[in-house]
Amino acid sequence: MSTSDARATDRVAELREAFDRSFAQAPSREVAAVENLLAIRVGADPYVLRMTEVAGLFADKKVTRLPSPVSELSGIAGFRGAVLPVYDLAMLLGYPRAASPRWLVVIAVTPVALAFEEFDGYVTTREEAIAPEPQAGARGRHVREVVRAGELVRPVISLASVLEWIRHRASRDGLEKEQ
Amino acid sequence: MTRHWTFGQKVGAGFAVTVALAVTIGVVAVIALRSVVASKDRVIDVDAQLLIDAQALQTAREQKAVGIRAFLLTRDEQYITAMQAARAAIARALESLRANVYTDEGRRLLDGIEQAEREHQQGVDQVIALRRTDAALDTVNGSFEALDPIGDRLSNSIESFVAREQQLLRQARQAASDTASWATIAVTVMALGLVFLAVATAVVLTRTLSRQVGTAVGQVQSSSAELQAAATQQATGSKEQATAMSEISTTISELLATSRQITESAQRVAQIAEQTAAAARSGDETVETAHESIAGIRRQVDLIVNHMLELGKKSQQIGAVLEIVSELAEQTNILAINATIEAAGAGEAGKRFAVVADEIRKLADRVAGSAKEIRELIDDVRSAVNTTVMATETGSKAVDAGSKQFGHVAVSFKQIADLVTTTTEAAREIELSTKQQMTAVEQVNVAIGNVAQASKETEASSGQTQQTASQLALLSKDLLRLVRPQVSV
Repeated sequence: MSTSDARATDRVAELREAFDRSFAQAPSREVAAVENLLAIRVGADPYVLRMTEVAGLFADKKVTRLPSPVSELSGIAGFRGAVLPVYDLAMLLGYPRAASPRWLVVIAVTPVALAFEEFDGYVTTREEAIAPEPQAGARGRHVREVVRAGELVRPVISLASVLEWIRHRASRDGLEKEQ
Repeated sequence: MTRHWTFGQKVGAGFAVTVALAVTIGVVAVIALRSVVASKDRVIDVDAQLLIDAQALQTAREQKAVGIRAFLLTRDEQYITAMQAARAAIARALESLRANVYTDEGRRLLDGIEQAEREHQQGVDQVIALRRTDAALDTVNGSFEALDPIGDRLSNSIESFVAREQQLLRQARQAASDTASWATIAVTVMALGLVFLAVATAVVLTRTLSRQVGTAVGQVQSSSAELQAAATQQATGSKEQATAMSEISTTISELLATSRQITESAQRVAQIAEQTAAAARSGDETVETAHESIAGIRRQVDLIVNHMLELGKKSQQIGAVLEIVSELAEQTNILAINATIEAAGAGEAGKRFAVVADEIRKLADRVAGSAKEIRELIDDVRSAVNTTVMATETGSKAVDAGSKQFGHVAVSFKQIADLVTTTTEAAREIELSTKQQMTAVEQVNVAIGNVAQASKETEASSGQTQQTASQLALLSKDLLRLVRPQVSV
């Protein structure tokens, strides 16, 4: 019991020191050289999203389903006073429809939200760790790059490609509808 | 029917026939003797007496004549007296003769004699009277001689009577002799018949008895052989019986020793049962105390369960709070990430804010990690609490079961105490019964000894019987040889 108490005390002291140190240190100059990524899981497979392509991360948003010819469209949801379409990222990546995706990200360029199942966390990596996918399309239709962190390799989902594909589907469905 | 007669009956019948014939012969002989005796008596008593009386009559006649002649010669009166005495004798003789004579001829002759004597006496009286006178002797002799014809007639009559009586005597003697001869012949014939019949009876009896005795002796011989064999078997059986009795006696002795051991064991069992009863009573009290202790344990376990349940509830509350903390950490993390995004969008101005947001995110990550650890700890605590509660409930159930078991144990101890009491009584009964059994076994042992002795005596007796049977067989052979020499072996 004393060992556990000592460990907890040490932990608390460590946390306190780290917290204090974070406020004591000067801002790092190397921040620009670091790429911020969001580690997620789609269909139990690990992926990462560039934070520069993301306008916001949300959880447990109520999604209102809408009748639509686009099967990937899960519905619409409210984000900071704006109603945005929500697409199922799993279906967009070629997986079956997720049962109940909890997490959502809003794409920075175009106000579109993507729903996925799990959010592993916020990770930072150096830009050198991001390399192009050797075999294009081998890890998914929207994967252009991969992040290597030791033995672990996470595909980087190109939200621009996803957005392009959504647009393409929307325009095609609109033409088919007009025809 | 005679075949069914016994030897005694047959021999008795033979002797009866013989005795009957002997009796008949005796009767006939007696009758003949009596007839002969009667004839002789008649000859002696009647005919001889008649002859004697006749001769006495003749003698008295001569004495009378002598007296008369003497008186006539001497004139002496004493001769008269003698003559009168002789005449009285004649009268007695005539009277005797008349009493005994049994023929008419004899009576007629007696009448002639009496008549002649009376006439002669009358003439004699006249002569005597003449003699008393002074008459001449010659005259007297002449008168007396004149009486001679009468005297001769008297003498002739007497002689005739004597001659007749002599003849009758001879005839009677001859008749008696004839009777005696007839009786002799009859007795002789009957004696011969008796001898013949006795011989025939003896022959018949001999043949019959020889045949039957021979058959019986043969049967006795075979029976002797069978008896000998039976005696041999009996001797063998008696020997085996004696051996068996000896073994039984040994077994009974062992049984007696076993009974003694059983008695001692029963005594020990009774003692142990009493000790067990005391231990059972002590155990009952101990069980009662233990039951009370278990009840206390039960109450403590209930308290522990309640505390554990309370601890579980507290853990759930901690979990709920931790859930909130986790939720807050997650929300903080999201906010930090979004702040980072917004700071990145703010350009250079947002870099400092980005640092703060990153620190907030890190803090949120640490809080989330700590919350996760706390959750794991809480889960461990809840799992431990659940395990403890379950274990405690299991222990409670075990305590309940133990309490029930102790109740059963208490009941069992009471039953054990009762059973031990019963066992004690049974052990005492066993002890008593075993003692009685031991006494009975001792008596049986004595009886077996007597039986063994009797078996030995029976064996000896069987040997004696065997010897007797052998002797009987030899005796029967000898007897058969005596009875049937032609078939004797």
